[in-house]
This record gives sequence, structure tokens and C-alpha cells, in this order.
Amino acid sequence: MNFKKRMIKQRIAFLILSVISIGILFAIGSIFFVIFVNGLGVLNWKFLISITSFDFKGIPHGGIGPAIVGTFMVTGLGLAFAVPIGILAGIYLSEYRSKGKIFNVLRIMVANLAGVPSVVHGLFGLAVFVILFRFGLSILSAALTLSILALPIIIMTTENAMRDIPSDLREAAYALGAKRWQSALFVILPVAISKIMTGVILASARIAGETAPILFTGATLYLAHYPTAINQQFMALPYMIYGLMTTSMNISASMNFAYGIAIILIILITLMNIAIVILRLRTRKISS
Amino acid sequence: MKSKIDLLILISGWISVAIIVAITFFLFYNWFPLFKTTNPIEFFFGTLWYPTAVPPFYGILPLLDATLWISTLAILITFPSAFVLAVFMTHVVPKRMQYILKVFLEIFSSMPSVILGLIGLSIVAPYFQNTLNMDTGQNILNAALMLSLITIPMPTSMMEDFINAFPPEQKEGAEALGANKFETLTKVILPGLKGPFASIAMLSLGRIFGETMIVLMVAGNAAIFPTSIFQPARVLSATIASEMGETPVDTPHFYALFGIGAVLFILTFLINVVGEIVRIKYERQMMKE
Repeated sequence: MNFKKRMIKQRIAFLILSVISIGILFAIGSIFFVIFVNGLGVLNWKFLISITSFDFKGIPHGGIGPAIVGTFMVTGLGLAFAVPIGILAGIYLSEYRSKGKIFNVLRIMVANLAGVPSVVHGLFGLAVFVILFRFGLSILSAALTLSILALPIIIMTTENAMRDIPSDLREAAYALGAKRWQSALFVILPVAISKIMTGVILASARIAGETAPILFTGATLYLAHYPTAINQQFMALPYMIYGLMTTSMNISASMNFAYGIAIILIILITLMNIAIVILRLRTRKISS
Repeated sequence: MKSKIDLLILISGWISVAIIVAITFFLFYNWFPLFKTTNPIEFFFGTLWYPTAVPPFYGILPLLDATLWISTLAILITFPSAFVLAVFMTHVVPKRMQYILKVFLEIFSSMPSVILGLIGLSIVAPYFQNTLNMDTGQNILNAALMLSLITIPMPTSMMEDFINAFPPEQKEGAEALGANKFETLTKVILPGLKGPFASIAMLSLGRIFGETMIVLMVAGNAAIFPTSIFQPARVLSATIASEMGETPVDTPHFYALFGIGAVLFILTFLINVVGEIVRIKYERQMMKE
């Protein structure tokens, strides 16, 4: 085949690839667009801080204050459980058992935990936290369930972050008489922490948007007040979208409300992702 | 000498194993009482899922069948799309643009799936029904499309990493022999990445299999054996999500839903283990080279 023909073939192939890719990216972009167009109408301060109420036709009024607070509470509490354990587990994988058969088994288990369907986590939370531990349908049960979802993400980023730290640092610490845990917690961890933070933020974005695990561990569609204690049921942003779209008697009136919530969720998650990008750029600068 | 902190780290290190074991135990523990009233054969091969009828039927075959339909269609859309996107990002656009697209896809991948459900339900379904004249807009095709959209970023980013990490000697070797970018891609890079791409397909399938909210909202929730992609269907995960809330604890229906959870868990576990093992194997091979 001559040179020209081959160049033309490459051009055509890349052109087709580009058209398809731009189509997919356009579809994804239009999702953001559609959400903002449909939801902007309901957004105002009152929407963010008011209590939700439904009139006799099932049309939602007021705002999503309790759902925002509920989502923050379960996410925060879930992280409070998952972050310390996840970081310690990551330390174990990178500093204590960084190779060998057992390491491979542990790593596959972490990956598997990340792959467990979220609705199965919900069943587990129901069986263990709600029924066995008698925490009931509550913020606590839901937060514990979500913390299990967050764990593998935090473990994997911690392990990778610690592994990237050059071993001179460890050896220097050992030479000064530090024990393994002292070197891990006081020498390696502080250097790796900003990378670990990206995992923590990623995990919180993930659990803040989850619906299936909280369906039967404590979330409720309607609450007349803000949550005040962790043994209460709670409203949550993602669950509210589901509820508005599936149980409402008046779908078209509920729809704009649901889109408004979607905007809030997307803004939250985009902010978290921007934080991740900034953290990554910072760590790149430090290591170079 | 081991300190208390060493012990704490050791325990945390094994927590994922402990949780996996605990999940397995509690799924089975809440599933097996079902077999006092229902024959296992009826559970696995029964063709009717009518849990609230008198007498109730707890056959999961229609749910399993629907799960296979939707996941197969979704992976058939997801995998080629992700592949095309990964090649586009690594071979067509400039480096800077590649980074921007990566961040864009990352933001999209953390979009809650319930939002895709909202879009499927309020925009795609009416469009299917009114403009394309389908019997119902809440069907297998709609669910598969929404599932694919939310899944695409993960395999795209993994494929991109593998293409970027491809041994430069081999790439440069092909180029030195006069191959252009496209020929290097199809004749050198892709044959070398068969294994990793297989594992990526498995991992995406695992993700699609367990996704709940999208299918719950847009698949139409009819526990029938579908005969075309324009029919509604009800999958394993969505059945648990839609029924568990109203099911009293310690009833046969409750046990049956845990049974579905166990089946779902085992299937995704197998898919993910195979995917992970293949991935680790090839990651190591590529590092050695």
C-alpha cells in the first residue's frame, strides 16, 4: 500500500472516531444542560433553607433544608467512621504487607468490596445495623452503611499515596530509631496526606449521592423538621429525587423540584472534584 | 515487639476481608429460612415472581433474565464507546485537551445515578413513547442507555491509562518501521492490550450488574420475560430496592429478597474477581517489560 493511501485511511479512521466521541461527550454535556434548564426556576434562598411540605394534591412546596442537612449529617458521620479505619488499612497494605500472596488476597478483597452492589450494602446495613445492633432506621445506621461504601476508596488511595513516597524517608526514620508505626504515622503519612485527601473527597462525593444503601436503613421521604439527633430518620437529597419522581401524584409539579435538587447535588459534587484537581496539582508540584 | 498501634493497623488492614465475610454470612443467614417454605428449585428456576400473591411465588428466573438482557445491552454500548473515547483522547486531541476531558469525565462519573434515573424518566421515556411511538418509554433500551452513560467514564479512564502506559520501545519500534499512528494503534498497541481490555470489560460489567437506581426508575418494573429491548423489565437489584421497604422483617418475602441479594452478590463477586485477577496479571506483565 502506498504512503498516501495509508495516510487517508488514518485520517478517515480518526475522523469517524472523533465524530462518535464528540457525540458521546455531547450527550454527557447535554445532561448537565438539561438539569440546569429544568431546575434553575425553583432555585432561591428559600429553596435551600425551608422545610419541605406537600399540599393535598401531593405537590411539593417550600424547600429542601432538612434534606441538605440530612445528606451532610450521614456523609459526615459516615466519613468519621471510614476515614481513620481506611487510612490505617491503607498503611497496613503499603507499609506492613506490601507484597506476597496475602497482600494480593487483601488487595483483591478491597477491590471486591468496592464492587459490591450498593443495594447489597443496604441489605447488610438493614440486617446488621438496623436489626442486629438495634440502631433502627436512623442516621447512625445509614452512616455506618455508607461508611462501608467509602472504605475501599479510602484504603486504595491511601495505599497508593503512601507507596509513592520514596523509601529513603522510611530508611531515614528507621535509622533514627523509629518503629514501623512511628515512621508510617509521623513521617510517611504527613507527606502523603494531600493525596489521601483526594480519596477522602472522592469517597464523600460518592456516598453523598448514593440512594440504594439508605433506602431501608433510615432515609425517609418526608420530615416536618430538621434532624436533631443521630437516632432519627432523615431526609436525603438523592432519595428525595427518587421519591418525588416515583411516589408523587403530580409528576410534572414534582419534576422541577427534583431538578432543583439535582442542581444542588451536581454543584456539591463539582466543587468536591475541583478540590481534588487542585490538591492533585499541588502534590504534583511538591513531588517535582 | 509489637505495640498496640501495630495491632490496630493489623486489624484495620484485614477489615475488608472481615466485611466481605460478614456480608456473605448475613445474606445467607437471612436467605436460608426461605427454604423452610419454598423449594430451592422453585426459587432459582421458578418463572413467576409474585411475592405478595396468595399463595406467593418467589421465582427469580424472570429477574435474572431481565438482568442479563439489560447488562448485555449496556455493556455492548459501553465498551465500544469507552474504547472510541479512549483512542480519541490519547490519539486525536492535544495533551491539554486530554487532561480537560479527563477531568470532565471524572466529574460526570461521580454524578449520582439517581440523576440519570431522573433524566431517563422525565426526558428519554416520554421521547421514546411520544416521538418514537414505543408502547412504553420505560424499557430495557432506556435503562441500558442511561446505565451506559454513567458507566462509560470508568472504562474510558482505565483504557486511557493502559494506552498511555504501553511500552514506548514497541510503539517507537513500529513508528521507526514507518507505521503511522493509526497503524501503530491497530497492529501493535491493541493486540498487546487484549488482556487488560478484557479485564476492563469484566469490571464494567460488574458495575452495570449491580447498579440499582437507574434500572429501578427507568426499566419499567415488570417481572416478565422480555422478548425485545422495547419491553419493560425488572432486574434483581431493582426488585430488592422497590420491595424491601414495605416488607415485614422475618417473612418469606423478606428472606427471598435477601436471597436475591445473595445471588447478586455472588455474581458480581465472581465477575469482579476474574476481572481483578486478569488486571493484576497484565499490570505486572507490563511493568516487567
